Amino acid sequence: MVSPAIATEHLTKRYGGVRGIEDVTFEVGTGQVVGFLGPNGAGKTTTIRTLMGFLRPTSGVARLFGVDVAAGGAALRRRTGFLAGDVSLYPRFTGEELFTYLGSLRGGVDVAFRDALVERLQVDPSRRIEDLSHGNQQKIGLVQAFMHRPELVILDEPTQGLDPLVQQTFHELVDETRGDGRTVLISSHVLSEVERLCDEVGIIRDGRIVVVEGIEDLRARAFRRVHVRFAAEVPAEALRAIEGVGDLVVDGTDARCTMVGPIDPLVKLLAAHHVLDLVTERPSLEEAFLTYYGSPDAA
Amino acid sequence: MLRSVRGAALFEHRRGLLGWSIGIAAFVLLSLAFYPSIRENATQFQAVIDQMPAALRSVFLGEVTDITSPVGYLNGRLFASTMPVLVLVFVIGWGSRAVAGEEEAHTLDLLLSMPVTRRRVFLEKFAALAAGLGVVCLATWASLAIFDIPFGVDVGLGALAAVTVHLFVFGLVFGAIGLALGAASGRRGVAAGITSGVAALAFILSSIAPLSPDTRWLQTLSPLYYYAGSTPLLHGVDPLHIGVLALLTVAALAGGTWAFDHRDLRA
Repeated sequence: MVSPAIATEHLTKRYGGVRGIEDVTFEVGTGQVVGFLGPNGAGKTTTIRTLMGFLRPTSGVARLFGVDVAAGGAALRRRTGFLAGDVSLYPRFTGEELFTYLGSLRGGVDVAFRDALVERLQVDPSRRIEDLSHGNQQKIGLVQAFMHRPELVILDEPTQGLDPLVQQTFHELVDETRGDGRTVLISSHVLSEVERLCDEVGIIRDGRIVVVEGIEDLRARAFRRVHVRFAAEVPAEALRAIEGVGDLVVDGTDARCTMVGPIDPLVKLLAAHHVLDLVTERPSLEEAFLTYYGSPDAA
Repeated sequence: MLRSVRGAALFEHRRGLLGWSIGIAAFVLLSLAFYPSIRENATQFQAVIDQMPAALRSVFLGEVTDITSPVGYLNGRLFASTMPVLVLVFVIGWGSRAVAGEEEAHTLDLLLSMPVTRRRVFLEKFAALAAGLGVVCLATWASLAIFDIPFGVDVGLGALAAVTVHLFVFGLVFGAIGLALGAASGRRGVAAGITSGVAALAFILSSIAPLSPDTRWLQTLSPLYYYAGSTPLLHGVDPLHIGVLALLTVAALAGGTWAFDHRDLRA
């Protein structure tokens, strides 16, 4: 059996009594693109830095390719590409110097492939890094994370500061990586991006993984907001009786509610009434996200 | 240059190294240039020195108190206090920032996301520091070797080499301590502060302790004693004293690697 690219078991990291992450257990299968969602401070970066071996877990295990990070160290990082959240590259180096340095430390980097990345991301490698804008530094960070074609790429908030055109290139890069059967973990608080890129999503909240599931499953569990204007009195009782309807608010002949699951029963009910207007929003991942973040018992 | 952590560290310090080397050469030249006039007024200068309190004399001169002879002059003017202090400034600055500086600049995460172990990074940083210190010591030796005869301070290349070797190994000790404390704490200021404190204690100990026969043995606790105690400018390299300094260096490195390897990197 092939070991999952990433697996954690009851991973806990406390900083002098303060909790960073607590009992985090999740898996990322080989060839998957997984989004790692959560607001700032929820524990995304702590989890990632533990996976990279920068932090020693208080308890529990983090494994890459089935090998304990604490034991596998350098050999595991040879197979991994990494981009930190607040990208900090050697400011006095030029892009070219940085690529030479990091390439030497890694060994065996395909220079033609690296140069192609530089070209695609429109990086100017001849300028000193400290003279580049944040977005351009981020691009250099992306090149170094992908240049050795790693089996696993771990990216902490990778698209911050990237202009839309480069974001598109980044999306292509992630798709190609998946196409090669390689694995990507992307932490983000930009939901639309995770929705666009990822097969699965893990949501972390207050240091705990709340859910890991497929984007579609997550969306199916998400609620949509529904707003109906009736010509006459609102059939409140009938609406309430429909499975999945919640938070019904009746205001004159207006009815607002949330709806989880299939919308068909609601449509059937409305068909029997004179409806002036009907607005329903497509459930976005954002709504799904709020489902988990909205109430503490959602998990 | 950019093939290894060691190479990159030297690359980063290339301008600083050039500056230090030129500065030290200039300082040596200037110091030697004063010798002829001191020699001419030897009796007056020696009278001033002889009137100094013993403690002060030992702080500035060590054991060689005949400051108007070539050996005495080089020792008093350069090697008893100025050169070790310059070397300390150099190695404490470099050592304390080698790992902790990267951590504070947030580049350590990038470096350690490469397939290199922390131990490797630590030891290569030390190798770079040693090479950098070697350059500075070589500049010291070379400028002395070039300018000694023209100014009549001829003590022989071997004697100059011996004292420079002692200076180099003495520098390694405090470079290693600064590096180790930086790697253990991740804070450059903490590392530089504590290392400077230790160095100051070493100076105090080695100048105060010899004043009384009862406390004389205390000077052997100071690394400075193993740098200058055997007067290498007169007696050549003292392998035992070099060995003690080397041992201190290794101990600092061992402690630093262990601590670096067992802690969390700061975000």
